Amino acid sequence: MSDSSAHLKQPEAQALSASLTDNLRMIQTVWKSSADLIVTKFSAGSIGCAMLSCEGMVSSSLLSQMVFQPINSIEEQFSDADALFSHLKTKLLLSTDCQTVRNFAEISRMLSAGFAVFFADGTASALAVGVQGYASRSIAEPESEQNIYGAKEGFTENIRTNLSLLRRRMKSPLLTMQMCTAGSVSRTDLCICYLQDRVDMDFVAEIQKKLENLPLETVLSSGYVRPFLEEHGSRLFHSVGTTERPDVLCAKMLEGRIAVLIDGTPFALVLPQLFWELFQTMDDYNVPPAYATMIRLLKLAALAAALLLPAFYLAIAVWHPELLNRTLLQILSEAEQRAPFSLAVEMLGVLFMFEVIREAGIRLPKAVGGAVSIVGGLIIGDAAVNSGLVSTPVLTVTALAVTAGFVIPELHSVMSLLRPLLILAASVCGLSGIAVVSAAILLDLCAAEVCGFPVTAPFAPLRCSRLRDVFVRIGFKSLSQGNFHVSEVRNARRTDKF
Amino acid sequence: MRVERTNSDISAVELAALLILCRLARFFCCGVPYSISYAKNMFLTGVLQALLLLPVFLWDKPFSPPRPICIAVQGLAVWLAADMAADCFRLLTAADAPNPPLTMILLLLCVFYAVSLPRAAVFRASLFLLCAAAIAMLLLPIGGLHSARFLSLWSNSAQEHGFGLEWKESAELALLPFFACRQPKPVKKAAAVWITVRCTVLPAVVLFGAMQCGRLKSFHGNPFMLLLARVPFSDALRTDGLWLMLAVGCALLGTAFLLQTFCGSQPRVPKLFLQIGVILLPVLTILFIKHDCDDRLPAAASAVLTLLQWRIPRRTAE
Repeated sequence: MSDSSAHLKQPEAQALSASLTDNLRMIQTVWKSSADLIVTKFSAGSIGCAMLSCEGMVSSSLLSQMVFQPINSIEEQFSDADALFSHLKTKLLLSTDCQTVRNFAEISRMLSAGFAVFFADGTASALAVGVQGYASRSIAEPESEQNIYGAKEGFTENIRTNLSLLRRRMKSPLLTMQMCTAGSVSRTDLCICYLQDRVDMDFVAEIQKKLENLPLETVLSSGYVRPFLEEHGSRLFHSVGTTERPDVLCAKMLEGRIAVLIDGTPFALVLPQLFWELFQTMDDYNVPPAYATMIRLLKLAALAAALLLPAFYLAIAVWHPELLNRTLLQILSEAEQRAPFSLAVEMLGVLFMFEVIREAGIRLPKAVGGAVSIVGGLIIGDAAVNSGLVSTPVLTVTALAVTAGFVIPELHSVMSLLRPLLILAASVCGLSGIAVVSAAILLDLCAAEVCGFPVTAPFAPLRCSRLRDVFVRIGFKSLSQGNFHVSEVRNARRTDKF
Repeated sequence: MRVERTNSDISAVELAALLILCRLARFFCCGVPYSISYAKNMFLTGVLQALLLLPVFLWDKPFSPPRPICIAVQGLAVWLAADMAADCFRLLTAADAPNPPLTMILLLLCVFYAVSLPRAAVFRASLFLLCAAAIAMLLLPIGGLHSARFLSLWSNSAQEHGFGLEWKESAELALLPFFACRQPKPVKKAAAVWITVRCTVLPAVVLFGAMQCGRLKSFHGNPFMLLLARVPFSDALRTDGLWLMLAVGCALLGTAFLLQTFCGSQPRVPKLFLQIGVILLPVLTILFIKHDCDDRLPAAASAVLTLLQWRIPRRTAE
């Protein structure tokens, strides 16, 4: 292994030397003369100095106004570099974030984070000056969680911006934000956010420990971290949720949850996520309670329809036609008479086509994606029915199921996986097959836990008093009489024996 | 090293839910024709069983029962689980369900998946299923109120009155004292709920069924399915299929509960022989069934194999 790679592997072992030339040589070696590393040499107060920065990560105007102009204005002579540093820190660079760094690991991290690092000959330390100025997306309406009456601000990829969005909504010193890094190579910034008086500190410690021990080289999105926070149990359902909305995150923290913000992704992780929260939106609290209740029940029905409707249709049409009355049976049999394939093949084929069109629509540019939807949905669908390849009831049932699935976008992947499974079970074993597979899905859901929080709470385990904001949404006056707190549904750890 | 796993506190509601589901599974599979005397005997048996459970209600201090009793209870639980699975197979056959052997393979695979999960999962799932059962039970009289004939209660001359059968069908009751040794407080509440449902809801359903089907002098098959056939919820769609699903779900959770609670969770050991065992067991069971044996025989075979299978991974996991 070469010297430079050794530095890369363990840069924290290398402390700065007092020689500016040695320090610059070491930086050049570690960074392999990277194209974006800018080294500006100059002298200040008769002492040789250098300013290092990453191109595109710092604001040129800020660097010029806040750092170079004050340094150029120095007229007095300094006996040594430490005196110069002291003068800079206490008199000249007051308006910037200024930190002293003493090893190459810190310097590399600071440079990568958009700091400019100021070296001076004769001292074994450097000053990191916060003049970040990298381009980032501005705050926009969250695309994955749109609502009608709520705020239109969503998280961005910049973690600092996201923290400010939270702080603006929660002006309390109890809101704690703890920074840490993850990813042995990427050193991605993570932030654990919680309200001190609402959360169990052992829960926080458990999360911190898990994040510290992440065996990852890089963290590029929330999906990298999520599996390490989730516990054993479900293979299908997540016990750690995500949100793109700061207002939703604040509401969840008020209930005693912990948020993990990750630099580079607009999706914050929320622990724990209860299953029923998938049916709740911010708009529920902006409309009359009765309407919100109706919408929640509608979503539950939509979930059932999205999962079970094609399988039910298949099971009843193939195995249990006696369950239908004569008229319905006649309609179905007439429609199926022309179709050349078996009902199961037809249904799986339509589902396959839908998934293909959906995937194409997502990955393509928006303008083309719309065209794909039209071609797929209207032209292919219509042509398939007219040619007799697919019967109208099959297309109707599948389209209904798929549309119902869009009502709960978080569960879309689960539904896409389970729908064909249920169809296969229905085609072989009829309704009893659906029952068995449904029971397996239910068991899987009930097994999901995160740090002792069962995702099916407060229904299972049952906490009757906490069901008032699950299936129904009661009024704010009643809700305010006792806020829900997730610690109420946390399990005690116990052994396996009864 | 012992495999660690976390489990939730099991509440009285969850235990009661599972006991009720076990009873419902047996009730759906029961072959005794519905009559007023059957309902009467059902109620009477419930009262007698409540009296027998008095020690459970009076006992307060938890203690560990002697090992021989634990082994006996384990054996009984495994037998009951296998018996419940066999009952389910009989129901599927009686209801003309498609491919009962294949359904049983699926069901047993699902049972094994259930016991590989933390125990709390089965308990939590029972609440969902009980909720569905409660809604279905509420809708049942709505569908058949107009066709119920009160006089039919006395026009029936069923040969069996089901008194003895009721004791057998409530065999899970024998496990309650064992539960009470470990956790007396939740078991008391669960037993109270169980007895209440047992003495009120089920006799009411039997009476309702007798009012619907009283004119039949003889009947072979499943009386609950007959009741459903006579009380379609709407003209467009009958509900028997949904009830069949509920019955299968109850049997599945009941079987998993009995196996898991009394024999312990199956540790997740990704060993080839364990996977083969999981697949082999249902296949063996179905082979027995397909060779026209009495369905108790495969039940016994699966019971023995289940016990063996539990012991093997335990050793590898420690």
